Amino acid sequence: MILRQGDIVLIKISNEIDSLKIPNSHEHEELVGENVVAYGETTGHHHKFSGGLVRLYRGKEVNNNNDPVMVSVESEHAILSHQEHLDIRIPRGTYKVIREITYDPFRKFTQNAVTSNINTQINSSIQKYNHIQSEFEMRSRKVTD
Amino acid sequence: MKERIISNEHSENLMLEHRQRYIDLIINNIKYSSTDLSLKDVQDDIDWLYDCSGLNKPRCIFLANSYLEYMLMLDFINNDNTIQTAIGNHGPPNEILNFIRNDIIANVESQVWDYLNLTDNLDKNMKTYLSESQFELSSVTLNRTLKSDLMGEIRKIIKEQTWTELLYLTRGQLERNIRNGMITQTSAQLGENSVWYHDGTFDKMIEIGNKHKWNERIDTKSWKKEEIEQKVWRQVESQIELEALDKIRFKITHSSNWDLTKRINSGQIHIYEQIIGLLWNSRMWLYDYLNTIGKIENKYFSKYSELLKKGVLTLHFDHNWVMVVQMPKKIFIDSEDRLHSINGSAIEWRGGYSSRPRNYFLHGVSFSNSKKDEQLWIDITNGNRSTTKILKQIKNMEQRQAALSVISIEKIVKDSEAELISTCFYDRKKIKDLNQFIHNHRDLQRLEFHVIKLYKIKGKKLGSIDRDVYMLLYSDPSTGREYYDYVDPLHLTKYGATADNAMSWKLGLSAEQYAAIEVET
Repeated sequence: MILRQGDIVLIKISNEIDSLKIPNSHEHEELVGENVVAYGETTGHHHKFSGGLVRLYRGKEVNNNNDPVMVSVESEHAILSHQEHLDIRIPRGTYKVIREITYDPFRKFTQNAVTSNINTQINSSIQKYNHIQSEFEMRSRKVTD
Repeated sequence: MKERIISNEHSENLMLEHRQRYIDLIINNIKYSSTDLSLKDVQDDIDWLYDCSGLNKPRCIFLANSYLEYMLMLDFINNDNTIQTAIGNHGPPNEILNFIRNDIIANVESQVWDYLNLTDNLDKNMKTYLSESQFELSSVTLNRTLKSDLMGEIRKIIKEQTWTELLYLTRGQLERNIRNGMITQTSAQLGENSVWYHDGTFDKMIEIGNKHKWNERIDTKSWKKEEIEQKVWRQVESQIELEALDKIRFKITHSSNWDLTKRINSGQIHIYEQIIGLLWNSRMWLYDYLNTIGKIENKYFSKYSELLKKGVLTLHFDHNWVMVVQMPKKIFIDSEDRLHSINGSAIEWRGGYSSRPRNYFLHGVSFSNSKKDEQLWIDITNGNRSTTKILKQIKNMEQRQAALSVISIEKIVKDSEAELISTCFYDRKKIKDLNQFIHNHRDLQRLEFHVIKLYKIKGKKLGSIDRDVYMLLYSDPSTGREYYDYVDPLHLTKYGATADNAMSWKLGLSAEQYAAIEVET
């Protein structure tokens, strides 16, 4: 079974959902509490699971960031939603996540169109800024408490 | 306060009207506040906030016309001894933040802004008069309406854009102007003697120094002497006879104390913002709605809300001073609330100082981070330049995608003399089992007929590319919107230059897998 929502494709690899669950024995690591499969780089749009029990897994070796590469839908079904695309009902089972790729003819370079880890210089600056801000807020809160 | 009895339908419409009015206040602020804020507009309300918090009135209120100006002003207050000496800098008073958070906002929220309960009640009421499908639609709309952070995206972009400007742009004159503006505002409110060189600016100070009138000033304001000597005079004195005035001025204004970029990069800058203001109180419309129908009345919140509605983007409090940042005149957004304008700046600040007055955005993607970016935006939007020449210049993928989204298909195909080599059609609606995957069945009607076209463009048309370039044109099944993308020519050489093969490559699938897709939205 192959399902596509915009730039994300899910390929069903098994009707079972247990194979990815055993800790430290597989090449996948659960992203606990995560339900977003992919974010757009600037739009803030995202592919997100709701309305069912879902576990997302990142590949331990495959990527260094937190992009989920496997999904197990443990309830009868779960809803994959996105701000622009129609919601899809995903049946129970284990799925491989594939992201759309783009090609840059100017650099002869291929890369994922969506990502959950934008690693640009400006973003690290913003993170630094947010860090300063949250530290400040924490300090303010301490004083308030 | 008298509660109004209104029908559920009217209630829903009224709620959406209030929401729309709030959005309009944010994006068309010039309509509501045609002139720049003056001290008179905000002073009483700010004094009231301090009074209610049990604090003395602030000594000074600074007005900033842009977020950039606000950030630079904060930096000066944190790093400039002169301004600190004049007004003091003691940090945010917890009393006032607590008053706003607890007595104003939390008090109102605890009464009615428990939007989950509110939604439940609305759901219950709506069920009585709507059919099942109508109910589902209204419920989804209202849930999203109530829970969404309306201004989150705009807020994020304004902050990111300002941060980028702070990092990368030359601000010599801008910083001097802002500093002088702050000194003028301080002098006007605290009296001229409160600022040690009350008659103006660095330029003026140098001029006075050059005429050897320093001693007179130091004698009359002896308590400032040490500071003057430490900060400026020692630097000036030793060189005043050796160097031309311009060179001294340059040296002072570019010494390490004044180099904002250096401070940002070394992590020394202290830019703290307080999240109080129109963009940070997105659910204010909900209070207005509930106030209109007589469900709630809170005199503190009403007064606070009136202050923000005068056009206050954000308020920053200190024990001794307050900074008021005014809303931009206009914010241009696309249908998905992303900053977007093909006619000019997407954010129009109210004059003031901004080193880059043009905030160019296309569908949320910035074209304002450098002069080169700005020129790109101009070339893309005026349509005078060849698409191929523009594309050659754009290295950033999101910018390229944004550019392609506003340049007409005809122009792209014509400018690049693209050759249509393959077309394929999909009508996913024809798939028998589609119903089992589409969550809301009425959405099925939205699924568009799907056309994919593959064009070949000669490499030289897009610059010094040594092989043919393949461009895929495909439409989104949910929105019908058309997208372009390039395809790896090696893949097409190996498997055949067809639209199907190009699309399957793009999705990371084999041709067989692509043909077997059960649902595409």
